[in-house]
Amino acid sequence: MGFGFGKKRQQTASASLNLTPMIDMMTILLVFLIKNYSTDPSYLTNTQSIELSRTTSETSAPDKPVLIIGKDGVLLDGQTLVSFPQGVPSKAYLNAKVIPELMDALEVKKSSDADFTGTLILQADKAVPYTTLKPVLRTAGVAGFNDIKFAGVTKE
Amino acid sequence: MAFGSAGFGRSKARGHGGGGGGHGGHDDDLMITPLLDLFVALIPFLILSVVLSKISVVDVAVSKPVAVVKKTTTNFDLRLVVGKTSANIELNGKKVKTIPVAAGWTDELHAELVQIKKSNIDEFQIRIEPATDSVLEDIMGVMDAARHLNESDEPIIKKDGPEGKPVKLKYLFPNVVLRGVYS
Repeated sequence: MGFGFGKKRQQTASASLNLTPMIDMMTILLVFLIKNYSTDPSYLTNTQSIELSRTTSETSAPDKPVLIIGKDGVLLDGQTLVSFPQGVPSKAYLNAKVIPELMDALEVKKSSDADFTGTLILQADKAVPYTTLKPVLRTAGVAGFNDIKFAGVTKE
Repeated sequence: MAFGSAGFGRSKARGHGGGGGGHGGHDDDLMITPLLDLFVALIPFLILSVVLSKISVVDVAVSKPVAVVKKTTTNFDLRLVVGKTSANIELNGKKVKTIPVAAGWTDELHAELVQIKKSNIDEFQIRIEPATDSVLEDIMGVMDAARHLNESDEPIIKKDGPEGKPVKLKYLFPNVVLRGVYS
């Protein structure tokens, strides 16, 4: 970079940015983040559509099917099974003894899981009333999923 | 630890003979721009992916359909009926206390459950029956209050095993069963 200060010397000053420390830092950071990303036992991600309750529990979620009850409906492993139009469950949903779509999906999960323990992880919005939870719990119970794990955000 | 100096940094071959360089200051710089691009793309992605709040789970047993329920042999029946405005604690069919749902009500509930635990040290099950209008946040609060002892609680010592070894209990009633699912 010549700024015109060294014209008399007839030399070209070469100033290069030393990137080595920055690359060192980035490599360490990258290794740390990738390691953290791959070994985090709590693989659940908090979806934006629901706000989880707070809990004092520190038990990490096992690798089991995840059922989400949000404002928009019921999802099993990311697949929408029941929709709540305008965010309100239908009367048919609330009065159902079992939810057929959920029942079928849970039966598939059950038959495809060689290590079936009856465990189901439930991620539900903290404002969801028990009346909305009941049909899901009932269906899960009939399908053989009696060990329900309610997900919550750990209190600090 | 200098990763950069090992291979990614500038490596000018100045007549060492190994890099095929001549005496004319031949530069064979490693092109690190793609590497930097990769780093700059990956690091923000990974930082944004990190969940800053840890998600934990609370174990809850859902009572089985009536046809497969086995009759229990224990006489202990601790039941908690949680409503929108109050919570009732019932022990063996008798109402023990009614706690109004207000600020700090779960602390009062917890204190009452600690007293029940002291006189029923071998029991670990509680049945929670939420009202239909109870919201999940309240149910989770009740489960937290019922499941374990806090550090500020007076320790409860249980004599365990044939030798009667004293064990400090961590839990109150960790076996939570949700009732009213099939009604």
